[in-house]
Amino acid sequence: MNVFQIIFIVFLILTLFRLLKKLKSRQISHGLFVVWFILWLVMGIVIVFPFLMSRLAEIAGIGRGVDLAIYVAVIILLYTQFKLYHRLEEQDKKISHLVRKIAINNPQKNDNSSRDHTH
Amino acid sequence: MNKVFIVIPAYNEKKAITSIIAKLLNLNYSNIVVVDDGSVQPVSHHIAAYPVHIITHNINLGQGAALRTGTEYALQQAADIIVHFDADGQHQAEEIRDLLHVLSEGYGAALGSRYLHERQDVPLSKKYFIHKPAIYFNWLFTGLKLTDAHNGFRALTRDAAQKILIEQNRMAHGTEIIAEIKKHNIKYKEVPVKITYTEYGQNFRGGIKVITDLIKQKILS
Repeated sequence: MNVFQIIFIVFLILTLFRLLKKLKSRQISHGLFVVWFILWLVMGIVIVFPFLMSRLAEIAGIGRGVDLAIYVAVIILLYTQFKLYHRLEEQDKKISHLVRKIAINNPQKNDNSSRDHTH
Repeated sequence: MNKVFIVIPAYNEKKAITSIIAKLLNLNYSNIVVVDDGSVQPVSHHIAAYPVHIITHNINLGQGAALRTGTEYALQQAADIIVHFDADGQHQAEEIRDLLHVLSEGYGAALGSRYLHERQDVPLSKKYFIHKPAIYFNWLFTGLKLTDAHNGFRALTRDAAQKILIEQNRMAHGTEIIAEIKKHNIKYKEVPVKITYTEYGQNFRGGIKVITDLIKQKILS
């Protein structure tokens, strides 16, 4: 086992612990926990047994195991990026809607001399 | 008698807005809606003495959102006609009459155009780097070719205002409104108006932002 593998395994174990803690304190849902858990686990397996990745790459028709890992990583990153962007846009719209609603429901009408609030 | 509502989006406006309101009141436009778009210092401080409706966004959303809020409020108040008017003194209150006249001829929307105005001096940089490209851009995007693409001075009938939906929070709403007019087949006419140039207004970078906002919306929706 080389240095990179050892560092990664330590990092992986720490991450899994953090994930578990988050699940216990209900910061993430069960579904999300499972997704992250599998993702990290697969990464761990691939790091410890790199030949698995090479075998997979061969099957997929891609030259090297590392190449396959990079392709998959890029696809996952792009997908999450897109999802995140969409989520942000949605959230923006919701906030706008809320702010506009509050504004319309609380107009301030000035009279010539006095002010009054109508709801 | 038509109930005319003047909607003024305001963001950090100070001096200009009081004189605009005074002028509008002087011309007997009594239904004025000022939408304070999350100004740092509330606009209401400056205009407390005037009989206007003040609607406040708690956070800054952008001019498009402010117009939408103001328009929706005006519709709620049973407005027959809604006029969009700038807070920075670019538009002439006297010219509202011209827009209303066009609506009385049966049009759904009266759109201000500085290029139809014979004595309008538009700064050359604005004309060729912002307005002209914007006209062609709008044409591409909406299929309507107007002489002045980004004029915020417009009047809408109640019917037209109910149909037009502004989704763009920031400055791209100018193009969006034109697209909506085309989509709903609203009868429109351009009206010559004079624009007084202030230090504000749209610069080239703002123009690029408008374009990216619109492209994003096209792709994502």
